[in-house]
Amino acid sequence: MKKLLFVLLIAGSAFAQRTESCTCGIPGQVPTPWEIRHVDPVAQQAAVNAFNTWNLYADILAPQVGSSVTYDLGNGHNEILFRDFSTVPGLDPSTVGFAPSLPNGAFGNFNQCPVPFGTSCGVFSEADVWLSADIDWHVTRPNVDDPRDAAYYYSTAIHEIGHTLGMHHNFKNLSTMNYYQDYAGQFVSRADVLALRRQFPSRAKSVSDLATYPFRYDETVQTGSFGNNALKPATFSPTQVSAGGSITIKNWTIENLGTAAVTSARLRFFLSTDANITTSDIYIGGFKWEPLTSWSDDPDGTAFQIPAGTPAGQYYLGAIVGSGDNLALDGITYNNSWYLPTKLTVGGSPSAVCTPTANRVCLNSNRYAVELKYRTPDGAQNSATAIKYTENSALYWFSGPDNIEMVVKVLNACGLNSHYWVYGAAATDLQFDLTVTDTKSGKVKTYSHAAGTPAGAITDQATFDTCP
Amino acid sequence: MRRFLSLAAVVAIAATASATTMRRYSLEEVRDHAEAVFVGKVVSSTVRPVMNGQLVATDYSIEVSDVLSGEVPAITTVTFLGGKDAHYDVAIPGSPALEAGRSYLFFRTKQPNNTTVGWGQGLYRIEKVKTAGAEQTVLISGDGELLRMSHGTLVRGEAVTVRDGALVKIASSDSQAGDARDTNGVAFNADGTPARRVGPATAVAAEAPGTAATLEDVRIFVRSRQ
Repeated sequence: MKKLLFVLLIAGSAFAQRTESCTCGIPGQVPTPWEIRHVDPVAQQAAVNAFNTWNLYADILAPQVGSSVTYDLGNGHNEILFRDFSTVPGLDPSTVGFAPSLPNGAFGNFNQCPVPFGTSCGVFSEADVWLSADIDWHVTRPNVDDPRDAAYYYSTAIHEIGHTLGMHHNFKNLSTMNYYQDYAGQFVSRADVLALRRQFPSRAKSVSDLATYPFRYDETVQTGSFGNNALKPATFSPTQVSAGGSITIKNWTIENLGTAAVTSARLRFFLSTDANITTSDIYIGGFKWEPLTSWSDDPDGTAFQIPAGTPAGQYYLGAIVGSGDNLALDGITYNNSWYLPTKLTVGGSPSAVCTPTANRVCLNSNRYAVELKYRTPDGAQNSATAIKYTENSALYWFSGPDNIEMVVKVLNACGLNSHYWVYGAAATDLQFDLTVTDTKSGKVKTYSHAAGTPAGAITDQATFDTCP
Repeated sequence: MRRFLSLAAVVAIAATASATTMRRYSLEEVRDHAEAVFVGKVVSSTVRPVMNGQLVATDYSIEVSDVLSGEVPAITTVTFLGGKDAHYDVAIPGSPALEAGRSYLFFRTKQPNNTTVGWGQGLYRIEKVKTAGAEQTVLISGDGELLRMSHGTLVRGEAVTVRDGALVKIASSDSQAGDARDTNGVAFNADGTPARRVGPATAVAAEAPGTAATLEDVRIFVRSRQ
């Protein structure tokens, strides 16, 4: 059979295109009163949280727990409740929720944005949210790597409540009105908020809200499986690196959901030993936008250098979004940070592996490299000759082996204060720099002494904190 | 039944619309979840109460003309939530409404649901369109997406409709000016030095000029089921 070129059928169609979220139909009363019919207090609170997520951006919903009337579709009350979906003729068995609303036609007869030209939309006299009573709902926030089938109440409730506000499905953009997996579905996106402000201009709030997500929408991919193949998770590579090396991070997203451009937006990446990403973690770099008006992402990746002093270990990679160089957070915090489930392994810098030379000793089972450089009165810099005296201590001389200038020791004090200690004593008034490197963690410390002054003792119990 | 009458009294003058959360299946999942795949024409419909009378569903009687997989009699039914007749008027836009006399491709679920997989995802309206003087049959999903071929693979296309015998992309009546990416981002390392932006690992293949999928393409796709 002869096939016609699709490009001829739809002249000018561009696949690399995002679709804005859209509305058709609007509640008759705003703020809209809602009755939460869940019995379980945890589910009740989850429902309240879902309603209030939309209220972050517009004053439109007024939820309350309980109801004074018998449930019926058509009783004039807006209600959220669980129903048995298991054997309903005409209902796809994978359905977990839907949002019936009255009257017919108010919602428009189409299933996804954009709104077809000429569509008639109306005012809802009632809207309900029906959620399946047949599945094991999760009311706690999923981890980013949770199985896709984990039914997160919050994500589904936000989605269905969105329908009762008139919002339609949006399969071709970041949107809670998509069928993304639960982790992504929990975020009301920029596309959603823009539609919400168009829908309720007089109820919209003036807010500042920068959001970041560990995924991006790939507009070049229009086919979709559950969660949509167009949703690309954030990644980094390689997963093992030496301190001083670099990793490439890609597929994150930053969005401005606020009502104004952010003059100085920052996205910063951190390495953390736990899943709680804070600005106290190890900062490895980031992005800045001056200003950030809409959104951005990074499909190709950017290589960031792991700081040379990063202790060896395994880390979560995370990100925090904020404004200004002090990374000030906005008031809407649930979308300010993320972490990835895959851990990054940081090893010691290969260049710092301790190999003894005439000027370098390797102490504590060849873990610590210790070198001493000095400057003569004429300004010439030289390396002191090293003598490994014991497993943990060394001697150095400048002009001859019969004239010891300095003694240094590196002690394992992990049992005392979880540190290695560096002690030293010099018998010279020349300028010198003593450099100690932990080849396991990559951490380096240089102890300097100025010329012409008495050399004080080195008693460092705080620098080398990688134990053992 | 009382509850249904209570509902019916309301919906007779004010019917219901709804939207749904369900799985967004891949085309392979639509195929694999289907108990039967067939082509047929809608000959009649009957509306009946479901969910203890709180909703209604419509049973569509289908005259089957082509069975791509499964066991399907010459006359069969497909059911969708919602419906309208002299007594009931409950519309559910997320749930497809079929037109009498029109032919569709069905990916039908098992009983007792007896509906299409993912509703609009497993239902394709069969349309004839004209382009450059030639006529072709195309398949448009219940979600409004053209089924097409790209790089030899069946894929979902953009939302389209047929107007005056021609296939046209659905454009919004709203302002859809787009929301452009901010491209002024600057990357830097922790020490303030510029971070290195990485180019695409491999060149992204340009979207090939796709072809509208035919029923034969779907037949091959269905037979490729493992």
